[in-house]
Amino acid sequence: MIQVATRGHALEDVLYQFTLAHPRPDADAVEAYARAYPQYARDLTELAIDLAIEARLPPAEDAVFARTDDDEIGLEKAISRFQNGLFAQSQEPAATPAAPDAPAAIDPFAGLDRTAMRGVARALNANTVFVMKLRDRRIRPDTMTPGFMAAAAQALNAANDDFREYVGAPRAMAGRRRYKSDMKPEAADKETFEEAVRGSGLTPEQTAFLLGL
Amino acid sequence: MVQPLTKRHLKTGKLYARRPQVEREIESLLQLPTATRLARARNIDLKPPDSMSDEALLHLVRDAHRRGAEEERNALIRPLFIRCQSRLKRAMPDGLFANAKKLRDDALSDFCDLMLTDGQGEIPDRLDYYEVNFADAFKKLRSTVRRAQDRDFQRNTQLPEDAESDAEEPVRADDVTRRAEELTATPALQESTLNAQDLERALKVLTPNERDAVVLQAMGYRIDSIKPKEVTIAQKLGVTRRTIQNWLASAEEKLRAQAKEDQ
Repeated sequence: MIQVATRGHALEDVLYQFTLAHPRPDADAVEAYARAYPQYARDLTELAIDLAIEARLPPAEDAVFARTDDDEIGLEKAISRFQNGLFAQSQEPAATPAAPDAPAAIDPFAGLDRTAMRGVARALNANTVFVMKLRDRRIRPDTMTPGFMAAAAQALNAANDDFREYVGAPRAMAGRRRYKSDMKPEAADKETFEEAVRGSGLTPEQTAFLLGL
Repeated sequence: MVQPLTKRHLKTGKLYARRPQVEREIESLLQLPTATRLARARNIDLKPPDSMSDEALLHLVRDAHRRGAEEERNALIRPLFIRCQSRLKRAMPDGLFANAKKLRDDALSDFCDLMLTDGQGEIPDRLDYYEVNFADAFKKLRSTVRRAQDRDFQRNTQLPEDAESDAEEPVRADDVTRRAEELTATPALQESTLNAQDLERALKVLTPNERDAVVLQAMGYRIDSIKPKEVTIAQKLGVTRRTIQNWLASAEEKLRAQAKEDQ
């Protein structure tokens, strides 16, 4: 019984509950959860690997750590982040609280491992390079044909609107990089659909198929 | 009575509960004068038997926040973050993980965000998991941060054209390939041999893919299986059997070299 309908939120719960149930997981534990939540199989695998690593490292519970200047700086940063977050919440009571965790547009690529990505590529008569361009929002949606939009949404088992909203969102900056620039960093420009098709190493047949959708 | 948790088991629908000793600890702490409670929370020496558990401290922060007791909450958040830093230093020490300090900073920021979103949004009770078992729930958070770093690593070191090919990876014409073939018959990195020292070396010298393959094998996954329903390492990582063989052989080579260097 999944309590929360959205995929992202259910994922968080599944991962936390797996961790509490199996802090030292073995293959059987992973497979039991992967069968119950196949859409999160890859996430569960990654988490299980990390838990297995932590379980095998020598215990450091008794180690005494002297606090360093870096620790104090990190602590002050965290407290400042906390206080600033509280202040922002108090200033915008009507806004969706806690931007860092606000539910984003549905990600039709969430939970897709490499095998699943290949499956999507096959369903689209494309390759994984092209599918990764879609995933990374590197293609301008206004240049995609309606036929392609529908085919891609179907390949991803997503609603047409969800797919359109996803690829139309700004390109995400990579992970947790920190920037020193005074300017707000932006991801590189998107390609047109045709440029993306022609620049993905597809066969002539695949190229013609995709451009003809 | 201590406010019960609201998080439910996904499978059974039953409510999660704190450990009984934590429940009793919180009950007794809430009966103390605020100043005494704060003094107990500030004691970061976790050795004495009456030291406060992380679960109880977290509950006190959440409770103060719910009551609108800002001053108390602000006084409690500092010792809670200090405890988080200690856990992070133990689990992600310098030298064992690449960019260990950044990992620790990111993890603390993520925990800070969890505190900020407590009681709000689609999952208002995520911190309940930390009141059930703080140490274990914190492992999940660390994993999230490490995986984000792995994805950055792979983005930065792999061009789209280098991404996983749809075709079977070609056989490598070197000693590594021969070793890869042997690995199928006689797994060389089984749990018994993946001791803490090997693992520390693995974290230092292996790529994320090699490390994942090695650990999965240590967890009991096989490279090959004659049982059609048995999930293999290749299936878990979404690559071909040949790729797994190459990763494991390369990993073994690196670990051996590192072991020699360490001697």
